[in-house]
Amino acid sequence: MIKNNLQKSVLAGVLVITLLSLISASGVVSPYWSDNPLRLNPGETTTINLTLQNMVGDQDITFQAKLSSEENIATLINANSEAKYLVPSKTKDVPVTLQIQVPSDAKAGDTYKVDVLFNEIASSQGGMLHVTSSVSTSFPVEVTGNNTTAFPSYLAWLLTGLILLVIITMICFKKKKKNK
Amino acid sequence: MEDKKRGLNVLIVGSIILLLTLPFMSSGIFTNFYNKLTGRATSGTASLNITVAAYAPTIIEVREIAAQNPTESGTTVIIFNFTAYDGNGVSYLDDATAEAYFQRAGQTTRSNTSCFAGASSTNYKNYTRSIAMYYFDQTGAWTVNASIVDINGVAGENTSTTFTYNQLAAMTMSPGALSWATVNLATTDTGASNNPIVVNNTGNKATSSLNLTAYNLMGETTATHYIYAGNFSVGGTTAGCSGVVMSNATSKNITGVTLVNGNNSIGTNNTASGQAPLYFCLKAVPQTISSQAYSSGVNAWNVAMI
Repeated sequence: MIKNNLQKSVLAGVLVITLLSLISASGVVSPYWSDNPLRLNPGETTTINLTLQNMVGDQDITFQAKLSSEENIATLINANSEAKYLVPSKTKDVPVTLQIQVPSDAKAGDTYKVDVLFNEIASSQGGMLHVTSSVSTSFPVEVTGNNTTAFPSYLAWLLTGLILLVIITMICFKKKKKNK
Repeated sequence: MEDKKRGLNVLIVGSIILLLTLPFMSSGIFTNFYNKLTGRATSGTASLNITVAAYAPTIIEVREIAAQNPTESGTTVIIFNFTAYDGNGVSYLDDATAEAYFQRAGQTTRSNTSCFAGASSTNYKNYTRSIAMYYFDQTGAWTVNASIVDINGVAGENTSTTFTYNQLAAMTMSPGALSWATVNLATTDTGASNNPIVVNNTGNKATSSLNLTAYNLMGETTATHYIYAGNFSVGGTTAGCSGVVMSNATSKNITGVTLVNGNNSIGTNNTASGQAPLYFCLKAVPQTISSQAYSSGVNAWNVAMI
């Protein structure tokens, strides 16, 4: 009991925790978002640019991109092996290029979601607890193209036969009239 | 035979009478006479203004504006051109009245009073305009409204052009440090002394949730002693001690906290100003740890705008 009280008194007033936020500013611009989807045809491939910004504060920031997409339709291109992007202070135009490829067997009306999370890499400073920021952007990829259902083949044949029948009947009718 | 002759005469005489009467009828003598009998006015004065209209000016073209990126916590100045036409000649265009706005339903109209008149020909004149869009202005299509008034006060307007304002997901956090003063083994439910960390939406992403990933704090002298992530909770209300309890290396959604786009300078620390406060609470201290400094080492806590 005495030992326990002693331990408490030793700890009293000495445990100070400091969380240091870097006041970091992170931003990513996307030309597509939930209400403004990217529209592509089945099998179509395109590249789009996201843009990283670091306009607040005076520190350069390094972001690491984490990409996830349904059916893996999106890939980062022109990125280094760790998908890290250095964004110098007061810049707003660091491109992040994504290649989007819609599967060729996709159907009109299908939607794929693409998410990109940019995690700020903390600069190491001992004795502190850093709080970093991350921003994410996500957008749907809508498959476009002829959305009408295919005309059943048996109906096509039926219609063709009907037209031929009408033509033959007309020819016969004319011939008969001529003979008379 | 005689009857036939008489009929012919009647026809001739009748025709003559009709011919003599027609001029009087057409000149309104009978009408006048009738009006006199009935008391109707036979004549009156009426004023008649005839305005020979000048050509109305028109804005024949607003040049296409490419999709624009917002600037984090700032403005994006958009420079564009439009052409006015006046059939009377450009001298009829009143340069001082050339205006343009960016409009979107439910949003503050963006405008600028500076408008520069540029090159012109007999009937056409170019104008250049620059308008600043703010970081918190809504994403989507904005309409360009360009107009001009001629020296006769006749106006022309064009709203046929739109441009896309892209989405910017961006955030900052402040203040720079978060600390607890004196903590001992008996300490429970203690909010940080400088709560809260205010998260600012410095872009125009309409709605975001905030996720926080916490890590155990490790003793800097005795590395086997920890203050666990689970000893902290984070919430959107005072002290945050009833907030979401953290878990080591796990992204936790801070329920009840939503970050929307807004003008941070209003400074109300809520959705009206595009801000969200995060309150940190140390719920308890492990009873076996030693007195020393604790830090997260290489694992920084992370606030994610999702």
